[in-house]
Amino acid sequence: MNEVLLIAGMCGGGVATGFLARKLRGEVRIFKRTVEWKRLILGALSVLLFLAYMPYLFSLEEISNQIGLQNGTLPAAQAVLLVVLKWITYFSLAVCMVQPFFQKKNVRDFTAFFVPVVLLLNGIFLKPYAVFVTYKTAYYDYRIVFYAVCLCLAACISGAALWQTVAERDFKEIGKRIGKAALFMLIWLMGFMPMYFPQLIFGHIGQETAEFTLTHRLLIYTCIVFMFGGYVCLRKKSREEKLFFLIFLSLSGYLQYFSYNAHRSGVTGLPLHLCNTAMVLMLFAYMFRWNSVFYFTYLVNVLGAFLAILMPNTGEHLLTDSGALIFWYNHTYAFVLPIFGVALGIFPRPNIKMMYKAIGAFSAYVLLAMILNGWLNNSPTLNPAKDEVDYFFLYSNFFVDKFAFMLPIRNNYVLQFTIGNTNLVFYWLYDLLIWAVFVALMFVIWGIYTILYRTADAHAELARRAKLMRVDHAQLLKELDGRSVKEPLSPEGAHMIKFTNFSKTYAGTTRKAVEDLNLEIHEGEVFGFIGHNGAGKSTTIKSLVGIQSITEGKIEVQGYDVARQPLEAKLKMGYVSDNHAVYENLTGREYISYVADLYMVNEKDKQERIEKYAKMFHLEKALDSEIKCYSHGMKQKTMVIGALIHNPKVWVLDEPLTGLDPTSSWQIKECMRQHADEGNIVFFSSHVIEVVEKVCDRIAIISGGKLCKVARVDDIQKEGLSLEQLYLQYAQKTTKEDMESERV
Amino acid sequence: MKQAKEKKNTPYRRVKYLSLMQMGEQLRAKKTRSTKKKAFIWFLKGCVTVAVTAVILFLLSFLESTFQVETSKDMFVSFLFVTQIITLFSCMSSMISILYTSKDNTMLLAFPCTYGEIFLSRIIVYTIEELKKSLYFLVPILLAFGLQAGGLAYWLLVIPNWFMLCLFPVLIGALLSIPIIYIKRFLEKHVGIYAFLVVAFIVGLFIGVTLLLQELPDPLRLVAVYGQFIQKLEGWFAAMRGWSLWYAFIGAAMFGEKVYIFLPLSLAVFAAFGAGCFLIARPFYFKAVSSTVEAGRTKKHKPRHHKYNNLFLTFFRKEWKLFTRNSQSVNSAVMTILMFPFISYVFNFVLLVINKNTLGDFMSIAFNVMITLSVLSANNATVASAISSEGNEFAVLKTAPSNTAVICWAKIAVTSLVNLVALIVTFVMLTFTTNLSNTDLTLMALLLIILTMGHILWSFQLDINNPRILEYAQKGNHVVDNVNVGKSILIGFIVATLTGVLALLLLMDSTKASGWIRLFAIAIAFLAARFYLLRRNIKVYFNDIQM
Repeated sequence: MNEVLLIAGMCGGGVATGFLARKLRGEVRIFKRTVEWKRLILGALSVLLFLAYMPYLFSLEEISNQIGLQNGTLPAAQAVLLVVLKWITYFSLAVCMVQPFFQKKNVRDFTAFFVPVVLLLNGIFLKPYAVFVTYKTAYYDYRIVFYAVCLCLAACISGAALWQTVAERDFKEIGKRIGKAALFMLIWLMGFMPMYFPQLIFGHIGQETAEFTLTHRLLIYTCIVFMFGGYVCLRKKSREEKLFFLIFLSLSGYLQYFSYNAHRSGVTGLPLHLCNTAMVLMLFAYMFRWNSVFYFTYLVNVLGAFLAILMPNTGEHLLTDSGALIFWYNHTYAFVLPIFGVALGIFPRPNIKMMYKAIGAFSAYVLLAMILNGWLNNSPTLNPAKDEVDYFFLYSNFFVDKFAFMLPIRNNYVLQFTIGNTNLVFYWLYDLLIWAVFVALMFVIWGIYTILYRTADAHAELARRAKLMRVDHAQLLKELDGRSVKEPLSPEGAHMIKFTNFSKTYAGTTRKAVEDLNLEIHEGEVFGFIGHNGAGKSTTIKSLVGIQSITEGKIEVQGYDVARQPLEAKLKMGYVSDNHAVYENLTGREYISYVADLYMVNEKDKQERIEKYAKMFHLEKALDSEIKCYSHGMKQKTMVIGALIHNPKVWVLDEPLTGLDPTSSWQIKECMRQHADEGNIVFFSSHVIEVVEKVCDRIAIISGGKLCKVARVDDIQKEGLSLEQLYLQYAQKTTKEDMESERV
Repeated sequence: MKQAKEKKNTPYRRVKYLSLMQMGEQLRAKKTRSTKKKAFIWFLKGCVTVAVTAVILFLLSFLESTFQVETSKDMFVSFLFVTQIITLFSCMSSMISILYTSKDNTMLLAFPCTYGEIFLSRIIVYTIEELKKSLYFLVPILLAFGLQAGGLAYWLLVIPNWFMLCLFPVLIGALLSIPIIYIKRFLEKHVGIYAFLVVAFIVGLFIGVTLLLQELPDPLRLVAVYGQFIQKLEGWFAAMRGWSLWYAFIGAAMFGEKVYIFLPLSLAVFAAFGAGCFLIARPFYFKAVSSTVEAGRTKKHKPRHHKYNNLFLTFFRKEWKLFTRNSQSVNSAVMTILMFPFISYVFNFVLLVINKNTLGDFMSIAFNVMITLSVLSANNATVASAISSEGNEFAVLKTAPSNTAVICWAKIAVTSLVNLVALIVTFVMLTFTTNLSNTDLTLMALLLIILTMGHILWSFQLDINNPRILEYAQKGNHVVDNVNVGKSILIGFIVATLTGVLALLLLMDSTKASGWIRLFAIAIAFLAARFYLLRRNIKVYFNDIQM
């Protein structure tokens, strides 16, 4: 009779809610938000279900005390069947609690197709289930009543989902969808296992879980695999999917905790131990995006849970006692849930403001634990059995045993006062010290998180850059249109250096060191690049030879794009820098030989050219001495030989004559002229105008990063101007412009 | 019209500007940071100081509660003395490079100021660095002793004494650096005498320490000699007070013992020493520094014609030549190769005589792994500046038409070679000094090779990701605060500690063979991960390194 009543109630509720949800139209404004009536009703039902389930959670199922299947009140087969049914029901109720808030198809399918079957089975097996819970057939025991209410509420939610599916004739790929819903259940089922399940089925087996035994390590690995696996599976999912996962997981942790702990007698069972608190806080933090609470768990609980996982104090084997199992569930949730929150992007990485909020929440928690410890341990009314109440280990010897120097601090700084018949005791300095240490640890954890974020960001950036390189290379191949990468990208520019809209901005600045430079330098030319200090000469040259990156535009050397075909472009160039970039501990010969090897010059050519240039620059005697013994000019000449050792088509020199004696200067100038006469390009920068005027065929004046003038030296002379006069005209103009812009 | 007030060119101003100029690079880098970031960095530093203080405090209370060794003035003086000696060694080596071989000496000497002022500015800049560094060691020691046993006098004197304790080793270092630089130059010219002295020193040390170790009772039962040990420790603390006169004055004053005598005495000694150091060093400074910036004697090398084989060999040859021709790197390698086996020898000698069981054998392996790896990884730290130290010469690589990233592997190969030699010598020596089986020793050596390689690769990656080429181009190899080097040492220490703990746990768990297999699996995974990451980082970032 009771079974029929329950089934009728569930069916009635399901049909009524389904009909109502289908027929109700319109919206209502609640808390400044517009909500559909249908969603409001279903949401209210799920909240009711959650609330109705609480008293049930606070009760004790008698079967949870049974060890093994033998000698129980129920026959073994029935006990197994019922515990499995209980497990699936437990999961189904949790699904019904969250389903109305999410538009997830497989969750709705599960609610529509699986939940009714589970509820029906509960109706059919109500009688043995009553024995399972109460050890007698007591239908009107409060535990059974609340359970029945929960089943009816779940039936309402399930009925609405089923009604919607039927009404919308949403049966497309129904087999696949049922399969997916079943898979969804299988994946999540582990999170809802009744804690007494292993002890009921297997009895007392196994040994104590000592630190770092195989069992312990497997549990640690499981925890880590779960964390990484969860992250990998979810990182690319939508925000709603992630949120569902986190809320459902925290709900599972919450229900697991209460299903085991809530019925522990007395005042010692409140969820105020660090990781127990997390079970409550995480659910509400995710549901209401409660920052301060979330970051409190993120910065404090994770550390606590991590230490507990490493050094478990369960003292029992995992399968021997449900207490050990809940310990692992509890700490795994407390460890992974907050980390998931930030890793999946539901909560941002904490900043100092969030840190302060977290410290505020933690302080409130410590204060509460301190007051409750001081009060409950000494209250004959609330704690007549004098059970030890030790929230956050603030009252016991837990910390004192580990840090003996804290004992006098605890015992000597006590605050006591009496309220009614209770003598309240507070170890104020000791508690304050523990609080301070934890706050310091919060900052340490913050630091560790920061390192981990940076590492994660570095890896993400590395992957991004690697991908970009692959894309660039593919683009280059496409542009080459079947030609080898060794061939010039622009064959038409094979006889020149070409700057096209070249600009350079240094990192950390917004000012362009060189702006929109367009220039062509042809074979057989000695080209002089002149400008004041800081005009942009060296920047242009360094970008040309590949020392610095190109911010905008393009530079081509003999048709090769310097940015995209750097090796091919560099092979065509020889570069003499404005500082002595020579290894001082090598000899001149070793240095030149090293450069020759980098340019893949064969041995015969290398030796011939070393001899030729050493003779030309009078370096034969010094060539086998270490460069650190060389004079300034000798170093410069060594660099010049290094730059010419591969007989480059383009010779680039940055202020090559600075500090040289007249002979050395003349030798280098001669060499430049000779190189250009052989059909090569010589491109050099200088602020010594006389030298440029004498050596160059063409010149360019650069000022303030902008190219001012490009002209043939002959033409300038024909106009009756000296290069110095021309240069000064531009220099004065630029100075005036600079002054005006500064004034503006 | 009022004329702008002209600033007087006083010695004070000159020293101030010289100091600011030397600190300019760091100051500029810090200027770009936001106030919040600065505050945060200082906060983190504060956290580290508090954490180290807590550790020392815990140690002191542990000594007091477990061994009944009270935190006394003698203990404080001994702590100060030992830490100051360590600081002095570090100061001496840094002072030699900063005062005499730094690249910017040529520029500073040309400024219109006296050489004494340059000397003083160098000391000031270095002392500021020391004051910053003291946050992690000296300040925690002072705080911990104060919290444990300090009275009013202690807290009143702690700040001036902190300053004096930071400055004192710098002054001694600066003073001692003068004869050392002359001796160094003499020995550089007379390589034979240098080699003889090194060998004589090592042999002497070896004989001395062996004789000392012979004094240890065999077997050494730690519990049995516990009382004796505590007694000796306290006696040693008392004796230390006699050897370290100035520190004893400071200790006495801070612990409130005849403050009116010891405080003026400590100040007087400090002032006299400071003035003496300045007056003695001043005339010698210019002589010593100017001779280092003058061109040295010509060093010729026979030309050898190498046929071009491949890029790696080209780089390796160049790196090897630079390594063997740099006295600093050769000295460091020689010291590693000679001293490292020696440290291992002493450590294992003590372990050998300690009465221990099977667990002790595992501990012996774990500690050997930990110590060896710590020393090796500290030596590897130079790799964390391998690319940066190319300085201006990096331009050659940037402009070369080859895959110049290969130079990374050549640099790694040179460092690995030195480490390998040091490890082989050490393990050959260990075969005579431990009772560990040859199999265990071989496995340990292989494990260490894998791990130290992993650390080298990691250190190198730090430099690839955060190169400081410009700084090295300006200062040569005398960049003292390269953050990558610090990180590398820290990583090495963490890897060494973790490996030691893992070795102990895994060898204790189940069979020794499975313990070794798991250790190797972890080590190989570590090396593989580091290799993969370095390779990827080189591929992506090497060509982007800017000058």
